[in-house]
Amino acid sequence: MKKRLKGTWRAFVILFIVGTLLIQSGCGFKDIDKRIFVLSIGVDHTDNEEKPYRVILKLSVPSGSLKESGAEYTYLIKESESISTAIRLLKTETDKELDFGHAKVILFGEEILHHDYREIMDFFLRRRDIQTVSWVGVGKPSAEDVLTAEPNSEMAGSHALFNYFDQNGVESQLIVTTYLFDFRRRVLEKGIDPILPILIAKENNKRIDLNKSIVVNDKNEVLTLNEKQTAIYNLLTNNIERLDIRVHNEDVNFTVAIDTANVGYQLITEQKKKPIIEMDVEMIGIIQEADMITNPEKLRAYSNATSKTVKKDVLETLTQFQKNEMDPIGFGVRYKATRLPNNKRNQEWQSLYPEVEFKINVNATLKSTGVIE
Amino acid sequence: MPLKGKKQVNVDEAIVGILEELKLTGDVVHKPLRMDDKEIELLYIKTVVDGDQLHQLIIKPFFELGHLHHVASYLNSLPNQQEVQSQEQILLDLTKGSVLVKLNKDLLLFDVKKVNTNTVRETSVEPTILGPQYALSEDLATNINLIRQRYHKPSLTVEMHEVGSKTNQSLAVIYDQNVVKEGVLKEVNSRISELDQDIVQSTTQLQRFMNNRTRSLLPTMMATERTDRIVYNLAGGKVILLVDGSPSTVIAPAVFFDFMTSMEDNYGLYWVTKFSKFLRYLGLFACLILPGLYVAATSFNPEVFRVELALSIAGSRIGVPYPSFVEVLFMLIIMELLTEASIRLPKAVTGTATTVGGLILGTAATEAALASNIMIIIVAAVAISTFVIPINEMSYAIRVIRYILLLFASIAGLAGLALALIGILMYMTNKDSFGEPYFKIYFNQKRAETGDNPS
Repeated sequence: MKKRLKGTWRAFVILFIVGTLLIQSGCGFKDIDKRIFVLSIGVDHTDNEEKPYRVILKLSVPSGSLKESGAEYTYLIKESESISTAIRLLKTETDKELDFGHAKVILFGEEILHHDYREIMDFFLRRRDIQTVSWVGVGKPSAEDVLTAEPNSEMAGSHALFNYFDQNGVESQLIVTTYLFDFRRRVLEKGIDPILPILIAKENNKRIDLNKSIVVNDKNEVLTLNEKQTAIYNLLTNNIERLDIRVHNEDVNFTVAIDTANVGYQLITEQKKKPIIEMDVEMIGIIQEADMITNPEKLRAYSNATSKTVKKDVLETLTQFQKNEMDPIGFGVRYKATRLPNNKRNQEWQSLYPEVEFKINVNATLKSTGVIE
Repeated sequence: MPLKGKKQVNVDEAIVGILEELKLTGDVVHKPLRMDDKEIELLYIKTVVDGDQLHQLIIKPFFELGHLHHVASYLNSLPNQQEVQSQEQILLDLTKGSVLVKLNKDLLLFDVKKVNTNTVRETSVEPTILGPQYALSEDLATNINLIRQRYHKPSLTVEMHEVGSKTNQSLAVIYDQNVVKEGVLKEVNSRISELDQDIVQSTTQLQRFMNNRTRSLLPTMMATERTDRIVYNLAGGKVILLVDGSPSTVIAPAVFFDFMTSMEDNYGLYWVTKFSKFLRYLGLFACLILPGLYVAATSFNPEVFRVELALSIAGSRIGVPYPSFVEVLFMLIIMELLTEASIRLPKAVTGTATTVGGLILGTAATEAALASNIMIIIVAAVAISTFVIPINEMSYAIRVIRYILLLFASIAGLAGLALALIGILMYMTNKDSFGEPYFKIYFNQKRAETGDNPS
């Protein structure tokens, strides 16, 4: 009996000590109100050799009544020799712990891409609190301008940049989304090149445009894709299913809304023959806008006109990639994956790619003219 | 049976001895009946004997029958005659409501108990919308009657025991001979014989005395007041324990999933009951992990949930002085006090208590910046979902487990919460109820599990 009492007593004392330990304020118990959330990170290149990086952190300041006052943002900016140094210095500029758990957008200034962006990418990958599902993009004229932009359509409590990318908000054929993990893969892997969306701050930072994209190849050369090429890229990688196509024909002009698109391709390399990439594009849609009276009986003709236009556009885009030695679609990866390894596939592809001939088959089917006649 | 083989002297001695034992009791009646040359003596305790029945059964026939040996054969053929074994046994039965009759040189004992507790009450602990509305009474005989009324099978067996070395309460062990699991029955009987408690007043008390552990958290026997549940479990081969004077039974063995079943599940439509079952498990998880999850999400892993949620929690915590787990603990304790108070308070006062408590919990705590708005929602959700668990004992146990999860969540965040959940799962799988695995998941058909083979 005495022994049992002793045991209970001991358990009670231990519980009490543990309990008091928990209440100690020095225990590093960092509550959510002692943290400040970094929503997006921007890195610009300065021309200063000593401090080449300019780091911008966009922080969200929580407020008691989120609905009325809206989200308030504050920015921390520091130039430094590396990103870690900059962040270490920035920490002292807030009274709270910087929390990178929600830093989901990472923006680079365009200048960064011409320099060694691999080291910067490394930082974001190594930090365990930055999620690798963060979106990566390029800011113009600088990352800072884009981050500090507060678009008029931004609502309280929701970050506009997140909505561009997460497919819950806007969905568009012109937006390229690249995750950090995918960016890394494309940077390190030979045979596929990273592509990033370009965000352009406009009208006194009241608007952000994002309808272009940029491809970087292994030699740090960049190629900016315009709206049409971005849409074609998205189509070819099956990122989107819905897109609009403007068809210019000799006599008719109309716009087609595609709602189902499927693209597949094959690499055909035969000895002593030109390598061929054979691409099949299947599309189903309706006519959305036309400058003439559409005739449902001519749907087949309209479909053919659409196919022709798409074929021309795709061929143009692919040829431009080829000419600039860019490969954002990953033909090289496909080549390596479908051939037995011989440790020379990379070099082989390097020499094959400039000679590749594209054969594009587009099969557009228009289901309706979009009006009842 | 009369006390045979004993001389008249002994019978007289016995009566004197009994009277000696009972002499301080004011309600003892020792009455000789005489008519012509007939004579019997009655000895009983007035307050536990049904006067009307005594009159109808013994006194009236005595005066109507012509001769003493008629009286003797009449009395000896009464169905409620009891066996006479020893003086102690006579004394015990007298206290239970028997009448001792001295006839010639024999002692006869008759059961003419007066029972005031045999009213059948409406279900109050486990109400259902459909299904029987009456529960049990507080009288053992009535309860057995209620069970037998619903389970017509000759194989239904009622074994009687006595428990409590001071109170000598009757305990009935009820089972269906054909389907009961032998091992379980043996285990139950051996534990009953090992009981050494002075007082056993409620069937649910058995639950604690019979689980062979001084400290336990999860119930391994199921207490119920519903006759349909009793019958359902009897048919499933379980053993029912009933103590005289208690309006509830306990069922052994009971596994975890039994406690999550409501009898209504058998009465409703298929998808409707599946949905309510799903709700119940959802409620179980909600009331288990929500407090811990709140602490983990606000203090350790705010990145797990959406950024909007993180910001809104951060916003609503502005001005809250203590860390999140103190906040949670504070609100939970107030909620528990409120629940506890509304159970114990007299019905007239309960309303006031809950209203005042609701006010404090609802708005005042947030106005005073002692707790965040989201915390209030969580406490409310936890409080409601606790009551979704159909069997009371399980919901009490879950209440306690919640604090364990909260403790681990405040030590190690989401990882701690997950670990504690796994730990509790391990504890449950390690447990058994009368030899049946406590957390066994029943993949087989019900018929195969219960061994109920139609023969």
